[in-house]
Amino acid sequence: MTGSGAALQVDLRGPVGELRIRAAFEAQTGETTAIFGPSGSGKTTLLRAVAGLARLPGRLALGPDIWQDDRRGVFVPAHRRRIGFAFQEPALFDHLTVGGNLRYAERRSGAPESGPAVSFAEAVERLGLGQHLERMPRGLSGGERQRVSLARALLARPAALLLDEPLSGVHRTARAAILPWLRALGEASGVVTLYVSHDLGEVVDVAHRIAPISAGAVTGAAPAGQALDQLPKGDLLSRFEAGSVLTATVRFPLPALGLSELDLGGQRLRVPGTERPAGTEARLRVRARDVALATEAPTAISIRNVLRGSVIEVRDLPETPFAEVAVGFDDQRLVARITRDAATELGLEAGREVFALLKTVSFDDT
Amino acid sequence: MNAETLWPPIRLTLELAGVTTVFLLLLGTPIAWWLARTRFRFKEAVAALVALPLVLPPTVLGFYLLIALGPDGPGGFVARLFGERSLAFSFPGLVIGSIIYSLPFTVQPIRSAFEAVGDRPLEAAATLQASPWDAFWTVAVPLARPGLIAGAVLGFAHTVGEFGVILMIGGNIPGATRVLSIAIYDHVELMEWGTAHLLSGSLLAFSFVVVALTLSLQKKMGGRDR
Repeated sequence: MTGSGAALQVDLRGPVGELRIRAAFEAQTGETTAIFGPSGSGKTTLLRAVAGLARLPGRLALGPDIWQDDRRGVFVPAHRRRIGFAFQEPALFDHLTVGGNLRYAERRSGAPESGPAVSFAEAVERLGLGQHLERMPRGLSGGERQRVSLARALLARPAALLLDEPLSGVHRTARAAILPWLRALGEASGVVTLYVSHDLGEVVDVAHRIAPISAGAVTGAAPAGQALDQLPKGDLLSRFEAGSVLTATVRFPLPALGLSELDLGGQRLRVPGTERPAGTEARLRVRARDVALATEAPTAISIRNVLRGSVIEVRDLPETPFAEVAVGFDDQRLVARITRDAATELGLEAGREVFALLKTVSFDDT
Repeated sequence: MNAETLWPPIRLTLELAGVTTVFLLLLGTPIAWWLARTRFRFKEAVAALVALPLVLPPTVLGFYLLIALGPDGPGGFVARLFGERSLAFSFPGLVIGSIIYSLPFTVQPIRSAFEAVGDRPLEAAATLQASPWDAFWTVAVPLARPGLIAGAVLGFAHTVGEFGVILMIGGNIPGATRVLSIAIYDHVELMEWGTAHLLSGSLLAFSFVVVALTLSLQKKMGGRDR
């Protein structure tokens, strides 16, 4: 039942809000197909439609199993599709412990021989959840929640693994270990993996094939190397805008200023918007080009949000004058895009303490 | 003041409230679930119907119930199947009246709790191959538990405190329909202040405990919101 040759065929088209989805591609078993594109290009909508959580007109099949065929009036509900799904915003069951969440999936996954699998012990070990099994999800950090969510999706013994930016909040070093394992796991078990991401580095690490998405349109999945070559080089930066997602806690809204004050690992941020009540966790999106770096604490400037952290790595962007600098705070990271010239002049290298100046920060509402 | 006059109304009241609460949960939970999840256009009209007893004078509700439960109403028809003439002035009649009268107090907190659970956990359950029925019991109900408890407590307490509807459809038959609130009324009418004090004081304390319990549950539920 590992479904040899059972490719996932996607043919969906239809309007969703402002967007018009037109997706026609195949994803192969044992391969990870990255759906790669900028925010707002319809990635999440498409993935939800594949899962059966949303409905778009068209046809979906996994090998011989027809999941949706509008011409024949077939629509298999999500709970009867053999999928594993990791939401971008992990939807853990708050009434169960971490271990309880994982067992919930395992218990409903059918008999051990019924499909591609990873054992409970292996998932827990690889995703570093060993010491968290007895904890409640509410006490976990954003990255920890995502790792639990991924483990839970894997333990459902899916035939198709659908992952929506599953590691966006996970620390870079942990991510670097998880991605190759995930890729190998897919190869060994013959599962079809769809991996939604807007992070080029992540896609390069995990994908066998890449299906670029732009304004709702996916025309096919090409082998990763080929697909990357075909992306217009100079365009890469602007089209697939690099950015970071940070998780912070709302300290209190400041209605008079139209801002909210947030806490990010002990550091303060002020972000436009006041809807979120105090104590809630919020995801913030920061574009790499909106981040400037300084090696000394800046004074007397208009930028209010300055975070102190240390450089994790400096990565040159080939054929451009730019470099991406990853800066870490606690277990979170932020990417700044600055010129290579500036990076050299400031002497930026791993371990160097820097101040990140965030010109624009917004709540991530996607 | 003696145990024989004191206890029957208390026992009857607790029995009535207990039985009513069981039915309230059985009936109110699916209604609350439906109201929380449906996209039916006129769902607020249904919600208003459920909430009607909140504003209706108990005598009005009691009057219509009296007709419905009486020999010429549907209640009378049911009663004849069991060899009785009417459901009015009987314990089953009181239960039916209490269910309708207390329904909004049970449905509202449960509906809010289900709404607070949201779509996401249920979607997650579906992707883990949990059927809607499975997900309801293993995800929605545990997450909404404070709301379910609040609904049960409020329904119970409201039934304990009801007066007008019971007087209309139940009269004042000792041991059968003479509940606490009516007993207190009688004791006052008969100038038995001591007994009235005792019963009223107990109800006061009981009500305080109930309200305090409900508020603390709601606070706990609010703290869980995001």
